Amino acid sequence: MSPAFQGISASGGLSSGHAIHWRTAAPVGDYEAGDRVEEARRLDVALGRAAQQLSLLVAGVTGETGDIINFQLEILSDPTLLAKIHAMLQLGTSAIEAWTSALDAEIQDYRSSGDDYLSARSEDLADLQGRVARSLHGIDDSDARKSVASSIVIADVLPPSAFFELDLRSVKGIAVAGGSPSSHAAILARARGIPMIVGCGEDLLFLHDGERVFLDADLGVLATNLTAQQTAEFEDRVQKHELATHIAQMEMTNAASTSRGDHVRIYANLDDPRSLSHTDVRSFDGVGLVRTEFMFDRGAWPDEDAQYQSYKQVVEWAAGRPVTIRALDFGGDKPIKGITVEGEKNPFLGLRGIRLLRRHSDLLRIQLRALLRASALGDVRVMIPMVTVPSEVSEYRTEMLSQLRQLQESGVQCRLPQLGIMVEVPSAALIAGRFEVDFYSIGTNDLVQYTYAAARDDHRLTYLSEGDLTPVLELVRQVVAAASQKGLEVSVCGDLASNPRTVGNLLDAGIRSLSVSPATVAAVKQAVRRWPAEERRT
Amino acid sequence: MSEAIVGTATITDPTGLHARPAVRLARLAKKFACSVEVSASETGDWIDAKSTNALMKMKARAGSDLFIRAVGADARAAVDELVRLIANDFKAEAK
Repeated sequence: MSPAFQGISASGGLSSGHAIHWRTAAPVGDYEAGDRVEEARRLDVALGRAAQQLSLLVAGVTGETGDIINFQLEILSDPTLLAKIHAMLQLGTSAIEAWTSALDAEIQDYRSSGDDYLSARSEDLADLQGRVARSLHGIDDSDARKSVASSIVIADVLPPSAFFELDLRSVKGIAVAGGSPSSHAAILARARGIPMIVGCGEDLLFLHDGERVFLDADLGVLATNLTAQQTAEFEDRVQKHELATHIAQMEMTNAASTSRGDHVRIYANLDDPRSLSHTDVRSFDGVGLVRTEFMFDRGAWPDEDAQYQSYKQVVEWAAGRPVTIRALDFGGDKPIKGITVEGEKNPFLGLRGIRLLRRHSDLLRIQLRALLRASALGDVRVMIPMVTVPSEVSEYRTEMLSQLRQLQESGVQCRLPQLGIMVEVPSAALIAGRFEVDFYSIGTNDLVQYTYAAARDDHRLTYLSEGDLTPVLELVRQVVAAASQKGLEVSVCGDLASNPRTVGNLLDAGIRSLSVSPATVAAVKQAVRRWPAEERRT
Repeated sequence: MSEAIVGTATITDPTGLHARPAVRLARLAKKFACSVEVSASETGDWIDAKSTNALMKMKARAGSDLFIRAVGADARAAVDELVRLIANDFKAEAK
């Protein structure tokens, strides 16, 4: 491709269209200052207008994005900040200069805070800075909302407030000079299926409005100046891609069978039951993983009844399909106050999962009782995280049986669920056959990290685990062999199962059950249907 | 000068004093006429609790204590309600 911008994929997909700049920065140009009184008045008007715009935006937005817009609203009336700005106005500084320099100082502070969360908020401050500055310059933001139909939006950064101001139905793609794949805008783009790349570099901003651009968000590339032939080839790919996506969506609720006709069970990974309303149960053969830690995210710890109600919601949603619930998996990257050990030298090799839970018998017991009660409602299965040796399972089972007896004695409806383990420690994979269980579920995220002895979040080490999957697939094969000898089901619930590119590797290793994050189900099923590829290179 | 009313509460939100809690804390503080300040330690660096910006920059983590002091007519009510908000994990109370 000719001149191209290499960025990072934030939301996959292909599209072409005309470039259109979305400016979030303050306008440059002359500003004719009035006297002190006039400047104070102008600032008030501009702050008021910005507050009005943001209040309109926040009305339709919930969750973390709503939090950010509320944060911006609060900054507009922040007493400490306004006092500083008014002091500058008193000295004869213009409203635009006082506002811009005060916000510049804050942005700098946030950026250099050494705190990722606070650094990310500097973009939200810059966004707010631009909004008020545009108003001070007499630019009406609603005029700036030019038509973006069939366009690819080019931006320096794309703050959440701008994302919501774009007419998303007509945006064909987004390319951002800065930003990160974990920004809010990137999360929103993925949720809405808009191709987006970030980190393209400042040169991106020299593109002309209206210039024809070609976005391959899977590869993270934005190309311009293609020859007629290249353009035709690209458009052909776009069409094929759209068709494939369309077909995948249509076939999403159909069962997944390989090209040889083997049925592959596709389960859902779930967190919070609140997400169930926008997940279609018909796309799944059941739930392969319910993470239960979410219940503890809201301050007070959930009692037996609260837990039971959460599980009940999922079991009812599954409508007769199996529901696999994971026992509390705190520790490692999921600390919880009062339970996990603070200042552990290496939390991933320390007290986490069952290792932690077995030391907190109250927590373990309350959850077991809720699980035993929920089992009476449907096909509930319970799995233990981070199992390393067989005694961890037998201990848990003993406690489960004792709680079952107690519930039965008190006349409470309950049932003994199937009990399985998460295989995420290599030792468990190597001796999988020795565990007394009813099923296995391989957690590839941790298994990969323990197999390669490489932290997941260290980008310098991705070359280890993303190069060759052979070692981890060898462990998967061991578990598959142990399970088939006992006639038990083994599923995979880590990222390898949700990634259409690695699904084939798991099927090669003998896996026939995948538990995936719901957003990926259409693509995973298509990957299953294409396996094994008809023309395989041998 | 009237005497300061003081209070303490522990932040339980796992992400610490991020945007949502900071906004809620500042909005509540603004309802009171008295001055309200918070600090990460008993002795130092008091900041205006009505300033979301200043609260964010404290970078207060989960498990850390927030010290509160207020001076003015409704100081007692301000400290009580702020402590309750923080102890309640920044969730507005159902009334």
